[in-house]
Amino acid sequence: MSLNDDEKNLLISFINGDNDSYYKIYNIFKDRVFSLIYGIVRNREKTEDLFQDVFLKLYKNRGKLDHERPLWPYLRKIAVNTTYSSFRKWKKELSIDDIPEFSNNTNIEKEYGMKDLMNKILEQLPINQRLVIVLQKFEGYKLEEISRELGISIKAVESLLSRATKNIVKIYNLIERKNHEKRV
Amino acid sequence: MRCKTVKKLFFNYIEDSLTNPEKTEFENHLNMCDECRRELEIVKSFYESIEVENVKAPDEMVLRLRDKIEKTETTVFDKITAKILYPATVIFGLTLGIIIANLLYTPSTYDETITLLSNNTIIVEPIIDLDGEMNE
Repeated sequence: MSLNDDEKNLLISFINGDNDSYYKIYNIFKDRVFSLIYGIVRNREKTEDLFQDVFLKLYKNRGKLDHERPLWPYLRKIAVNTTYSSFRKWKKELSIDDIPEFSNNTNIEKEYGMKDLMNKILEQLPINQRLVIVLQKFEGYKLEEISRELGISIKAVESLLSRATKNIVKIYNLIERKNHEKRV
Repeated sequence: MRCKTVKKLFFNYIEDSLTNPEKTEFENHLNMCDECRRELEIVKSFYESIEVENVKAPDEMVLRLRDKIEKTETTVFDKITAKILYPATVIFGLTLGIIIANLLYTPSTYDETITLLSNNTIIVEPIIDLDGEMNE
């Protein structure tokens, strides 16, 4: 992908130490980076911390940038890695208590709305599984790309997706069971 | 294909990344297995329904970032100062002190010694005898 002259000049100025160019770059990419991290983390406070770390890393690593390459893939890589490292050891136990309450409606999808229900299930997944799903669906990553970006094997990525599958079904069944218990 | 393998391939099936023979085997299994069919429906609905909101970065983030960058730069300066400037200052101060001390005191001490020697006023007496007793 080639850069237009404006982007290239902005990058060159930033690499050469111009702070105004840094804040211009910040303004161009801030919402995209914030949305990506929030999509994975789903917690505003944690997103803000990680977001700040990402732009700080960009500032510190200006010497490593290549003005011939577009910045977004680099910035996205920092965002993904920062998020992944931050939560690598974080494991969430699935518990029926974490599942939101329902009324006595017999159809949980009707009650919640399919989108709400599934997005709530996504929030319940451990963050590394959520990360892989978000990258695959919303950033169009292939398994090989996720493996490269996170520095893990393709087998490990497949294993994350496989565990995500189990968890999605498990949480869905928990919701259904909880709903059934309330009806009885 | 067995249930365990089929369930591992749910996302690949949804993303349409299975090879043709894999896909055929996968679908054959689904035709025979109610459980896998039901679970695939759940995962498929999940994958189609989830969304990532476009969330704007709060305006105050830029101020927090500026603050952090300033602190980082101050820290870097402090580290350089601590590692290079402080030891250099101490060494320079000590060297300067030695030079000044030499300039001020060495000549007079030398002069006094010469004077004392030339006046034959130095009497060398043993302070401790061979048995180690102190002389009066």
